[in-house]
Amino acid sequence: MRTKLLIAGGLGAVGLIVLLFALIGNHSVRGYLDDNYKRVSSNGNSVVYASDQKPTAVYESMRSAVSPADVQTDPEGYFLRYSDDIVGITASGTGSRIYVDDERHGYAHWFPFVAGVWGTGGGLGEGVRGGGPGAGK
Amino acid sequence: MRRLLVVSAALLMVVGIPGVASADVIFDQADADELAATLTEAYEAQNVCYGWLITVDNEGVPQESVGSNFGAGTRITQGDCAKSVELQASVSWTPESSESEDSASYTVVSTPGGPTTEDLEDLDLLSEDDLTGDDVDAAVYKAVAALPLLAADAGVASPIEASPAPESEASGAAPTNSPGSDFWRESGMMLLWGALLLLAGAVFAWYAIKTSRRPARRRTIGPVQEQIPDTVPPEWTPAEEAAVDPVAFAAPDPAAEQKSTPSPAAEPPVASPPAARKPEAAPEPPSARPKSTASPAAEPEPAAEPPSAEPAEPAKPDDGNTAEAPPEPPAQPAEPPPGKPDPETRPES
Repeated sequence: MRTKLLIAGGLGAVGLIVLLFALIGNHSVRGYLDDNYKRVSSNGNSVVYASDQKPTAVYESMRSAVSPADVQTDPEGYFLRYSDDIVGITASGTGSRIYVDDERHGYAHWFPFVAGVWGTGGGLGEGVRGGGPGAGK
Repeated sequence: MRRLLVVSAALLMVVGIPGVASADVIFDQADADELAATLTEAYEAQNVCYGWLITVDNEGVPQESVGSNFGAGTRITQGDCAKSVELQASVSWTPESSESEDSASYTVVSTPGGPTTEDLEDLDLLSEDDLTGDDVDAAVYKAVAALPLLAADAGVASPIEASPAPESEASGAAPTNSPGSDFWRESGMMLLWGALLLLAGAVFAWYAIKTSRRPARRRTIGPVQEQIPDTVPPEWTPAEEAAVDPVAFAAPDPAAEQKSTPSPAAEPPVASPPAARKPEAAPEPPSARPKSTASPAAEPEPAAEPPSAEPAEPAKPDDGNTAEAPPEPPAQPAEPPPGKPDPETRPES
């Protein structure tokens, strides 16, 4: 009886801890950027951060901290789409610049890289992101 | 002459048709051209050749997708490159009827050095499942487009800087297809697991409490009914009494015997053995023989019994005694409820 109750209590405690972590965890990309990078400038909902890390390192850190819904790549940077924000990570000297905008402004700012993929107005790339050949299982 | 012309035309057609090196097995031609143009810009900025080579076993038919900064359908080996980074992948698409699964693998080949396969894996842009899935073109596109970024991080090329475009370029364009909630994407699985663990703990606790409160039940087979035989053989002796109190059994107290004599109403009639029958003048009550004194050998002879004409006959303890014994006091009547007098004690009117 006592052993069973201890097991049940352990299960419940672990479940509660997992729930607390899920609820308290950092779900905002803006909060993560504020906590980890240096703010350079801001204009309304558009904020620019700077990092000494290279773009790939910044991208991997951000992806691990707050999972994006989609990622686009280009030789000029990484572009991450979240529910309300679009983040662009580009090289700047030996480090990086991180641009976060709301969805509409971010789509406009990074239009040459995400057009036709995350929205309307672009012709390039629409075929690529439109689906595969369908030959596989 | 006419045959020669036909053969020549056929040769021209064969030469004119693009070979298996066309990009159509993975990409649409426009997408392959766009990716090649992107790599061309990177090559011009970094002086590093980039390209891709995807060999596909398409249900037994060998096909490939090739491209580089030199154009779609052109490998980087066909150009003059001091440094090169190429994504090479091998994909096997099996028929639906085949039991074997699709398979794929990829590597990043850098010459003379540069990004590695692990560097590309860390980006989580391309996986073997992606290569065998329906969105293989999008996954390969992203992976190849990231090669210049990896080359810059590896130190074999200078990074390409970019800045946001003016919003006027995207006039009329708008994002579509909501990507969904960040919260649920980030914490959905954790919430699900936490809730499941919590539920499992609650259910297990309920089970533990329920099972601990249940008393240890004994299996009952129903009430044991006393079975009294209709006839008792004369040689029958209850084993318990003989073993427990042999002295009393040998010389029973008549008074005690009287007490142990069951009442006629409670005792079913017991057939007396033929030798124990009394004359008709002194009829034996049907229930006069107690079970405890059924044995003739242990039958005591009461003192009040007159000498019988048949000395060998075992005396009946209830003979005479039953008649001489004072009548048993009547059972105490139940106390009548207040306000309702007993009918027997009710005064006669």
